[in-house]
Amino acid sequence: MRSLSKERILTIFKKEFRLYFNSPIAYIVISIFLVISGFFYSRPLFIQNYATMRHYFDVLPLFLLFFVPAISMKIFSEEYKTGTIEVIYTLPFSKLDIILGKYLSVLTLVCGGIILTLIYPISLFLIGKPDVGMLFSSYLGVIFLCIFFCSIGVFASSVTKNQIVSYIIAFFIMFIFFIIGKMGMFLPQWLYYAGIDFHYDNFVRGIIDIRDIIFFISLAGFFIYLTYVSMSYRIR
Amino acid sequence: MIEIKNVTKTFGKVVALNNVSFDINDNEILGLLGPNGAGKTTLMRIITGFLIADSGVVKINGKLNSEESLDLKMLIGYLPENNPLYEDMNVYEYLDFIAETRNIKNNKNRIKEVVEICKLNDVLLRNISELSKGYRQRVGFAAAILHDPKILILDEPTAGLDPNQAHEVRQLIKEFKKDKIIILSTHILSEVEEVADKVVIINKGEIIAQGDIEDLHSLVMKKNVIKIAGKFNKDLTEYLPILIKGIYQIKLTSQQDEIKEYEIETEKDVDIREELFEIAVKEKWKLVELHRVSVSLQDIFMELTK
Repeated sequence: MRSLSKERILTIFKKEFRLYFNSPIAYIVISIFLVISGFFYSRPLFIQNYATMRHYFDVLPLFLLFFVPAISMKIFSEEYKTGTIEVIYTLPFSKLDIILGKYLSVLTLVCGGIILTLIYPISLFLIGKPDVGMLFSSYLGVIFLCIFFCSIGVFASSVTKNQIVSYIIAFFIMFIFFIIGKMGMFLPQWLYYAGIDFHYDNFVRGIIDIRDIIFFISLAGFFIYLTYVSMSYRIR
Repeated sequence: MIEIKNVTKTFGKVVALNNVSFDINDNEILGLLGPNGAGKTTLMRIITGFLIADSGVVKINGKLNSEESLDLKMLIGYLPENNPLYEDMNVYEYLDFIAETRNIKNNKNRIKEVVEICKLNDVLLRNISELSKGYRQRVGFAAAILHDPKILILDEPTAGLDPNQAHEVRQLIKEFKKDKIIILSTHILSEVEEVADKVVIINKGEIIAQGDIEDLHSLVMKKNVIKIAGKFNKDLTEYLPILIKGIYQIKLTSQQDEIKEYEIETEKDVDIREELFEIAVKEKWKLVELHRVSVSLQDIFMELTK
């Protein structure tokens, strides 16, 4: 049997998704995310009276810093804590099947939360004429940012049995990439490239650059690789 | 057939398994016996591929059980120690998930069958977190047998169950026995005596005895014990050693009214029951009991793991 298969990844994905919605976690976290992000979308809108989401997209990475770890923290930790990792790993799954299935379920749930915010641009179209291209590229930027952040979340969850610790580790790693972007002027140029803002801001400004896409995708790949290493270290 | 050759596994400085080797043939139920911390779970985890041995090999049907051997994982049904389950699923969802991973065709019917076998009908739509320990164990067992595996590995399947529930699980194991390899770990000795064909006793990571239950008996029993009870007109402790050769010792174990009970220890290969009977007839003793005392696995276990 091949060590990677679409069907098996889908099986894990479905299982994780079912578990998210069988417990209250997903509902609570997504609701809180929507309430807070709704507030930060609508406030500048009324103050400035422009049909733009620029301010919203500026603060969104900060929300994701709190939101993504809350979704991802249990994805491996809980399996290690309850011992179900033994069940799942002795079923015919490879490590990569398990990691990718879990990663995709986290990513889908996070993106689900993002998709629910599409109500904001729709409301903009009702009251004004926003720039469609910019909105599209901004949302694309957010998706790539989520692809990156979720890989960090999954990795952080794979190194500990404790969900709180997993949350803190994920938050901390994301925060490093976040703060590097914010402190660009104090840092050497090469380090500034590693920050989120340098790449994310391009999307928000309406520029879709293949280099930025490669940045997010390759870092996501790196953290998924680290997850594989951490899982191999734990199961041996 | 499962071949285990020179398997060693250490966790840091702790040696969990030290050079363990044995074979399990098809259609055999193997009881893995040992006190807590002996290395039973580690050994089972290595057979299932969850852990990798530091050295030595495990071969299943001639194939090496290396990392990520998905084909072999397909052959094995496994009930881990403490029976971890997804608490947030209901029983049907859980079995459905397992069925999907096992590529079971027509999985609805198969789940129905297994639910019948394990008597899970009443709790099918209940959340697993709400189930009693007995039901949880049955769910774990149902998940392990769902794909009708050729090899079934059960790590302490009756731990924590009350005697009735434990009996039910043993019945399930017996029903399931046909053309399978079953490996069963436990520290309940009567359980092994009841279901297993072959026993491996491990202690502190090493095999200290293996074989059929009868082999083990003779291994430990360096003497034979005969029990005789009845109305005797003589004191057997003095009278018998004169008549019969090979007696080590005779003890009067109890006395009720006229009926006395003796235990006679003899050499291992000597069976004196026939002679005793003839003497009893000659002396007109009224016997109420005459039998050879069999050693229980309990005695063997205590003797070996001392």
